[in-house]
Parts: sequence; structure tokens; C-alpha cells
Amino acid sequence: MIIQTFFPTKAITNRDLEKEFPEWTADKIQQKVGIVSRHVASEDETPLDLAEQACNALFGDHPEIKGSIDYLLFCTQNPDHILPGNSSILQNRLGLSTEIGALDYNLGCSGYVYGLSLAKGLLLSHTAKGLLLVTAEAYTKRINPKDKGNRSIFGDAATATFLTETDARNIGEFVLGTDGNGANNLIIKNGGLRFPQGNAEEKSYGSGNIYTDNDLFMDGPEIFNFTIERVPTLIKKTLKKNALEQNDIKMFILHQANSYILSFLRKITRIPEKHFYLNMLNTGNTVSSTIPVALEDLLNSNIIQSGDKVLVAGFGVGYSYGATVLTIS
Amino acid sequence: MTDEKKIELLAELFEVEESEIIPEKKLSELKWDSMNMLGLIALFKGELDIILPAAKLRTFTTVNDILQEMK
Repeated sequence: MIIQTFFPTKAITNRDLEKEFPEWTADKIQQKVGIVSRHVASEDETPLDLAEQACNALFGDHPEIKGSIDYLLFCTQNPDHILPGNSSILQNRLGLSTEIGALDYNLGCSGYVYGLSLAKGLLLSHTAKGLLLVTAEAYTKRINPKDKGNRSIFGDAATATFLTETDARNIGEFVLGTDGNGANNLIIKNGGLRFPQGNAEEKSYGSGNIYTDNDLFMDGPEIFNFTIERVPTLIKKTLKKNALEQNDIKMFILHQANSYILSFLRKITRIPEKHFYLNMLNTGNTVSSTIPVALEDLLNSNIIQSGDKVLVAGFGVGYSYGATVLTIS
Repeated sequence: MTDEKKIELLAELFEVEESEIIPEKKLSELKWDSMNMLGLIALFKGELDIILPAAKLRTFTTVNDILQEMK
């Protein structure tokens, strides 16, 4: 499994946010959300552009990969167009063979885990031999400029992961979940067929955060309750399904949603700090990219090595959640 | 949990003196923002093992509302 990440050049620091929201000081932001800066796509950059950069960086380091891709999975909730999907356009822009399968799928925080589940199936069924799993998001483009809460949390990024059948054999059993009852708690309401985008009145939540139905809305308390109700059980069930104990896992890599929530989850699951990944300092919450960003970070710093087992768990918009165990090779 | 412990925990959450945690105190006079709402949810789960539904949380206007729910 080879992972490549890409972050847009532009970054918004806590000091930048403090200039716009004077009471929301840089120190307070770091203390509350565990983030110092987050990358932000430029005005003419879309997730597709970020994905192209990630893929080209991957091919730059591993030129042999490009010709062996026969399946492309593209995870995004913000494609360039209503149709066609990003995957076919990316196939063309990367100069991949036309004799490949490609599809988009619309997931956020659980996207990478679901992508691994699809990759495992496609590779072990010999439907694919060389699979490129792409995650790419630019949630910052969907956040109201006057929503300091969400502007503090989210960042943009793209990742590209190349997998073969050998890698698929190192992907364990999955535990997956879906609960549409939580749909309205993390939503961009307008812009689809149900509610076309249009003039929408300003609303507020929390301490003076402003949004409209054209923007991203996230109900913090509801999301927090969802994570504390589901994620500890998700972890337990995933360990059990993979016939493993907590001690067998070198690193728990949870979707990096918000450092407050992550710290609390670590406390209630009693996972020791050294086995619990928590690092959003310079990235923020990059949605479907947080897990591959974490994996790349851990691999590059040799904190995880060949033979180690890591548990990856994604959870969020949908609600959608899932986890599995990876054996590093 | 004793009433003293409840007051201690709430004072810690809102970063005020314990003397300010009186039942009739309006939450709007304390720092009742999104972070403290998450903090209250964490407090309920961590200390009392209770899930505090967001809908319930939004009905709170006074310290007494919280104390009643902590029973």
C-alpha cells in the first residue's frame, strides 16, 4: 500500500482567524480544537485539482504505478460537476488507460474506510489488479465566512493510495454502520435536487456562528453524542471480528474530527496515548483524508512498521461509520 | 454523586468560582457556548455515564436545569 498526500499551498492560521474574530484568540483556538493552521484550496482549486496533484506526486515517486492502475475510486462530496463524476475526468487528466473501471462515491469522514472495503472486494475478486483510491475534499469552500466554529476545524487535502491484491490480503474484517437519522446533523442542505441553491436566510448556532442552508451545517453536540455512542462499540466489535485484543493494536487511527472529541474518546476507550493517533495541528479536519494523512505520517516517521497492526475508524456525515484492522507491510 | 461534587465539576467546566454555581444562575451569564456544551456532554458521560441528548441540552437556561438532569 503506497500513500501520497497533497495539501493546497494556502493556509489559514489561528492568527488569521483572530483578525476576523477578535474574541476568538489564536491561543484559545489551539487550546479548544488542537489546530494551529489548516490548508485551504484557492478560489480556482477544486478537490479534483487537489486529487490530480496527489496522484501526480505519487507517480513522480513511483513511476511504475501509473501503468498498472486498472481501477480508480474517487471519494468526494464536492465534485466539479453534477455529472459526470470526478473519476472519469481524473482518468483523462492523469492519462490513465481507458481500459479501467472508475467511479465516484459520496462519503465524508468514513470515506477512506469504505474505500478500503470496496478496494478489498475488488482486488480479492480479481475485478481489479492495481487500484487507486483517491480522497479529496475542500469543505472550506462550503463554510460560511462568518462561521468561525467550522472555519477553525476544517482543512482541505487530497490523498492517493495505491493497492494491489497483496495489500488487500492485509486488510482485515470490517464493521460498518449507517444511520440516516443523523442526516440533518451534518449537512449542506441546498444545492441538490431536493432544495436548489438560492437565497437563504442567515441563521446562527452556538456562540454567534452564522450559516445559511447553502452552507455546511454541523450540530456539534449531536455529532459528539453520535461519536461517544457508536465509536467505542465500533472499536470493540472490530477488534472482536478480527480476533484481536486492544493490546494487539500498535496504533488506533480514528478520523481526526476534532481534538476535543478525540481526546474524550481516548479517555473512555482507555487506549494509552502512545497507541492513539491525535494530530490535527497543521491540517485540521480534512474529512475523508484524515486517515490516509495519519497513515502517511506514521509510516514516514517509522512509528508504524512492517508487521504492525493498526485499527482505522472513520465516522461522521451520514451518519456513516466503519472500521477495520490493517497489517502494515 | 454529592451536590458538592456536582458544583465542583460545573465550576471547573465554566471556569468560575464554585460560589458562582448557584441553581438560579442563568447559563447566559456563564460561558454557555458550543465548547462548553460539548464539555457538559463529556461531563455527563465521563462522570455519570449518562448520554445527554442535544435536544435536552438546548432546553437548559439555568444551572438548576443542569443540576436536575444530573440526578
